[in-house]
Amino acid sequence: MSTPSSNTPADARSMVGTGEAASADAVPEVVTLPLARLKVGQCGTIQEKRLDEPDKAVLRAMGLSCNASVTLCRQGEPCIVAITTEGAAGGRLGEAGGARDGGCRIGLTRELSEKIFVSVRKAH
Amino acid sequence: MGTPSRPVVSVSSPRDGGGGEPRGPKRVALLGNPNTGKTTLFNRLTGLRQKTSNFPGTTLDARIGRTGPAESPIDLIDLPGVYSLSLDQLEARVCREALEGTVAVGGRTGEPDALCVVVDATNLARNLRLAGEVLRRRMPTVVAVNMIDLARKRGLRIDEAELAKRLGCTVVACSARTGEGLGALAAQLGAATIPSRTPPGDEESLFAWADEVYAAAAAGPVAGGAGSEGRRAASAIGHTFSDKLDRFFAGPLTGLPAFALIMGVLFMSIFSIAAWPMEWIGGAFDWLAGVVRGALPAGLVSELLTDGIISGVSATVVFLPQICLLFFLISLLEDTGYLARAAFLMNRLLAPFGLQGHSFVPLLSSHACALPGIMSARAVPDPKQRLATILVAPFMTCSARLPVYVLLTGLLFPGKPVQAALAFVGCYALGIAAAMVSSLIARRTILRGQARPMALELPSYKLPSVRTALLTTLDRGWVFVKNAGTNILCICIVLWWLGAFPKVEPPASVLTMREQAAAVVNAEPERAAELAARADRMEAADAKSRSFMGSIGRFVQPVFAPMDYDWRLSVGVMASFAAREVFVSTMSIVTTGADDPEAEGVLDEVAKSTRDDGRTLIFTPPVAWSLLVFFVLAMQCLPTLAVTARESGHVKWALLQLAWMSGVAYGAAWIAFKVAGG
Repeated sequence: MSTPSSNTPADARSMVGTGEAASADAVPEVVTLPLARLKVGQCGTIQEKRLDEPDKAVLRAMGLSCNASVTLCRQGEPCIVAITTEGAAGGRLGEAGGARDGGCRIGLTRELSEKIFVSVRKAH
Repeated sequence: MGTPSRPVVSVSSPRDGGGGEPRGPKRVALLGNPNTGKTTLFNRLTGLRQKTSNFPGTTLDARIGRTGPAESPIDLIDLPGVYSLSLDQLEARVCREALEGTVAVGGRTGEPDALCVVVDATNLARNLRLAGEVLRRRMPTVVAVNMIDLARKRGLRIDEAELAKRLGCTVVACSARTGEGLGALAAQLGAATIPSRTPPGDEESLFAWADEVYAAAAAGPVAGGAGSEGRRAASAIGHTFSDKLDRFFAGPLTGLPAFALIMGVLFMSIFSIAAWPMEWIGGAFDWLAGVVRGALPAGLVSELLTDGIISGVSATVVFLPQICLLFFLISLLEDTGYLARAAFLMNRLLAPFGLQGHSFVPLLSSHACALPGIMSARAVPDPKQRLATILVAPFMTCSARLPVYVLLTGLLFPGKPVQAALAFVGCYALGIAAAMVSSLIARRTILRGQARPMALELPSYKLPSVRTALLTTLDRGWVFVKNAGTNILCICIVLWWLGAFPKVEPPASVLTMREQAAAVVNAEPERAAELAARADRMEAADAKSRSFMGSIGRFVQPVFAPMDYDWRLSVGVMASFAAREVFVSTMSIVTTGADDPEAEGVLDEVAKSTRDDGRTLIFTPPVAWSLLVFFVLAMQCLPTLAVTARESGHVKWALLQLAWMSGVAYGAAWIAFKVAGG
């Protein structure tokens, strides 16, 4: 997985790294990009929030913490994301196993969704 | 129900010191994330046995309700919804203080005897973080896993026993909506135990702990599992019922028209449906005044009761149907999950002025009456934005301004309905513009501060609970009636006294006219009646002008002299600080003596009335324009000031509102006077 980017959102789009869950013989590429640029239905893992600490704390408490898995439900304003959590049997998002609650939708202004960066696996 | 594997100890044992003095019902604080159904649960457990006050120094509701059997009642305290106790937010601070016992709730201080953490079964992982924070406080705790029915529908299963084991406290699965498990929960509230486990303290470890507990206790549709429901769950994101509705209600093309339609229907309903009970209430108060007048001999007591108390309280309580209907409909709408989406739609319009989307409903409501508008500002989460909303809400054109607009636009555009209608629209626009500019100034000066990021949890769309809406309506209505029966009642008595005293003898001209009427009563009864009526009107006009209110009007007339208001207009303006609509009847009395401005020909007479020189009209066009602008912008409603003081938590905000709006109104009225050729 890539380290959180400190570049501008435009630069961040091009960042490429390796997924931490990757196996040695098939290394999936991971890109970090603003939440606003996910496609509807695309999943990502929150990496960084370029916000003041109190705002970050609120978002963390709402479930948008680092390493939280999110799925974009709607682009624009409000940008709507679903926070998904794995339950029994463990497993990461999209992998076998794990109960998902997925019941929590968070609406964000466009401005906020541009300041939250997520890592996604690059499609092959 | 799941319980930890250790003996259950009654909450009274460790805290009462065992067999100590009885000290009233046990107190259990209910807390949880927003949207966990905490308030629905509270309503279910307490029914009508609840009362609302404010947490000291805040505008946050402190609701306390009684539950449990009569022999061992429990006082439930409904704390504000919070995502974390450690946040630097008013709600979190109030929760912390309530748990520490440093804030009085319902007149009692001290730590609650037990805590009940309400968690959402469909969103358990995040909710467990707050539960972990609470468990760390080592107070007797019960965890209520609410919305268990919804979780089941989604294929999620919560292992209560495992959850209780991991948390180290009693866990009860329940559904506040259906009532499932509430009996067991009520029974456990009185027998909560100090948790046997202590979650980690630092945030990162706490989050990991919550995920671990969730992973161990939740089971259900397996994400990505072959042939499992989980695959459907995984693919469902973006295609759920709520997602489909969001595409319409929050869509770029459909969102705003849908919002306009919903709000249009809502406010049309308020105006049309509330009109009947408002008429009934008005009629009932009139009947009551008539009964009192008939039962008591004419005099001071009768006047105080009828013209002061009954008439004054009636003028405020008559808005109760509008207030109840507004809160009922808004509560229903909020329960559907739509209002959270609507807040985003309005955010773009209001954000440039330092407000958030949540402010829209209070501002729109204020077009009916500022009182419910200000009261509904509690829905604005950011304290500074809430205060800004309260301060500017009275700029919106309320229904009480309409009689004044009718009088003044009629004077300015006699026989020209189109121009009069345009002036009317202009008044509404001016009020909105003044509110927005004032908000911007406030947010850049006295209420400076960065707004909270607009991030809202969007609950799934669902059918609203009529029970919850009715309880909310009852609660808000009662708060309003209490205010009308205390602050507003006092204000009414003072204003009546100012307008009715000192008692003066009728002038000689009135006595002469009555003598003339008496002389012709047999020969010309119609003329006698006319003379007597004129004498009554002259006496009323004279009494008003010589009353304390009249004296105040004369005293402040120099203040209004730059706009060429004569002493009668000054009296009208001063009297209208009680309530704007009083202006029309006051002007009617001081210029014509008629106390019913709606009687035929009275308004024409008011329009043609002249000043003391007998030649110059009181309402010249520049004066009428100036007055119109003044009434659009001025803070002339004492009940609104009383509600502002209550809702803002301090009288200084009401005084600031009065000073700012009066200042703006005065300046703008002077400009209008000059522009109109004065």
